[in-house]
Amino acid sequence: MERRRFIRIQARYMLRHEKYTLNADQDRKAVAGVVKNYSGDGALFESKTKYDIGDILKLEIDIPGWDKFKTEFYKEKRTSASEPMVVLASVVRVEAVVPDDLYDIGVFFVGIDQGHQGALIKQINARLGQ
Amino acid sequence: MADKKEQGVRVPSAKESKGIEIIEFCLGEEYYGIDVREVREIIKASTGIVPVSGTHASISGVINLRGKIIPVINLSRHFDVHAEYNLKKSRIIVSEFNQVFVGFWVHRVTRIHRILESQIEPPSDLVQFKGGYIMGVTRIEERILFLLDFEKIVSDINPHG
Repeated sequence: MERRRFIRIQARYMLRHEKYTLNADQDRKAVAGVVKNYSGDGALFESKTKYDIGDILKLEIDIPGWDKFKTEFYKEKRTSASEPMVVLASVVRVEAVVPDDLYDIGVFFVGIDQGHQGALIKQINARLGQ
Repeated sequence: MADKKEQGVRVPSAKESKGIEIIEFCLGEEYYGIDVREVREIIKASTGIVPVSGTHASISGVINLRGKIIPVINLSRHFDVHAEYNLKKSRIIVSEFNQVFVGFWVHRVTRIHRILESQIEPPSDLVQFKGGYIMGVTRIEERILFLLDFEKIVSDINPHG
């Protein structure tokens, strides 16, 4: 039974995903996907890559305006452009949308900066309040 | 006042009189130190270390620090210190080498000391039992601190950079 701690909202945002390894494989690059819904601790996205349950993925999610809710004092090499949110996520669900071509990948965020998670939750609440 | 040199008292050179700041930390019952200039920040281990497969045995996993994925070296395991980590008290010391960030997981970070370089002695053969990672030894209050070479630890764990 799935237990969600945080409110989940529907949205279609671009993301880049790849299986995470410590020693970066120069031949492997992150590929594009589309987020279908997300919350403060997880997401569901479409992927042409089929992952296995338990895989650790590195996700870079383009959520417009999320970073304006960050409360970091230390800004390093910051530009005015919105940066993608980087998280490490564990695959918890894999469903074939189009067999051998398109998959729904459900993930739980196992490595998310606490400040970034707070900003994400605020962004979701702001969207819900619109 | 008589000149100290005339009295035969050794006057430290300008370099030896130079003060440096050392961050003191513990692995089990032993005290270690690292030059504060090698430290970018210190964070709580309760941040959450994500285990990653296929890594060196001394690497516990990685952490996400404001969007940077940083490997975390388990110093206790690397030095074969048999003591459990307390998630609340333990800390991760984050250093940067050649634009690469690395975290070092220690049992406790205790305090910062300001000492003179002249107070640091080279490690004797008897002391140099930690794989050649000890750059120097100093005595503070009643404790002996082993000053570690973090960069050498990283180099040994990941020789290809």
